[in-house]
Amino acid sequence: MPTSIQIKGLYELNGFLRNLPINLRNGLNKESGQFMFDVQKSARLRAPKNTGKLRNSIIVKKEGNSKYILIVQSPYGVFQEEGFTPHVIPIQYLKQPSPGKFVKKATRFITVSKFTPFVAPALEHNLSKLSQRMNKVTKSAINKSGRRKK
Amino acid sequence: MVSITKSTIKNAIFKNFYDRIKSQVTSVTLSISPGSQTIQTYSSSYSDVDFSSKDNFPILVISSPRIPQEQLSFGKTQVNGTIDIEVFCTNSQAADKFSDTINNAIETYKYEFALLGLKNLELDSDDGDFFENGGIKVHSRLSRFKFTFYFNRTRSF
Repeated sequence: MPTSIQIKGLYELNGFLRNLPINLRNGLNKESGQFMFDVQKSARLRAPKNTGKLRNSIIVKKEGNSKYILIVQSPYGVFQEEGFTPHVIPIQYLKQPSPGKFVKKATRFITVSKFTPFVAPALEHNLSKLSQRMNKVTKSAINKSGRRKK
Repeated sequence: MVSITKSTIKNAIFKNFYDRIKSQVTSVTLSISPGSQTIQTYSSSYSDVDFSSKDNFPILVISSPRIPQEQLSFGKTQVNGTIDIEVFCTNSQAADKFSDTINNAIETYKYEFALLGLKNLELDSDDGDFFENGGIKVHSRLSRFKFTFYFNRTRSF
């Protein structure tokens, strides 16, 4: 007795499997960009402000399709972020454009010890929500891929 | 309300949100001191705002909308946009209340936005943050709204 087996829905399944990686990649690219811009915003808000140069020097650069880099262009950004041992410096050091340059006649001195990290807290804050973001993107990609094409 | 066209899409969307928020979100009453708070600064970018003085708070920032586009059909382009509305306060209760007021203002006037062409207007995500800047403790609440807008695309061969 001949037996015939009919499998329904293979066309849809193929379409789903074909579209899922594409939609997932697009969604993740978009979300990673958004993530970096949110980190940039948080870092800018946390950065200590005197003249505003440090705050404005925090930028996001896009490389390729999916690589985003957060850059702090200001030379003293690293000292604010990482900190240093409290020490005394001639006050002229703070006024010159390239830090650390030798000052011949130092008349006034100042103790520098304070630092305010701004990138690490910004990253911490946003990383705590990264899993939610990834979930959202994945869910959206699955929904989009499963949509029947007419 | 400003009508939204292909040539003024970003500016018109921003203007509509800005006007709506400015008219609806002004002050909140609090159960703690100082009793009530009124928005002191409305801005379009947080870079333009001075966070160093307590007198400037609460600050409401309506960011420029993001409008990524994709082709929907031969004749239409679909814009899947988002707009961020963020409030900065010096106390957490005020921040929460302003956030509720913002969400309610947009939710209540969805129909008016839809008449202008902004469909599927929904709260996409919200976020809260706390940081200290220049000795001032700042609480922020962000509401990100998503919307869809369609316009007739120019055909090329």
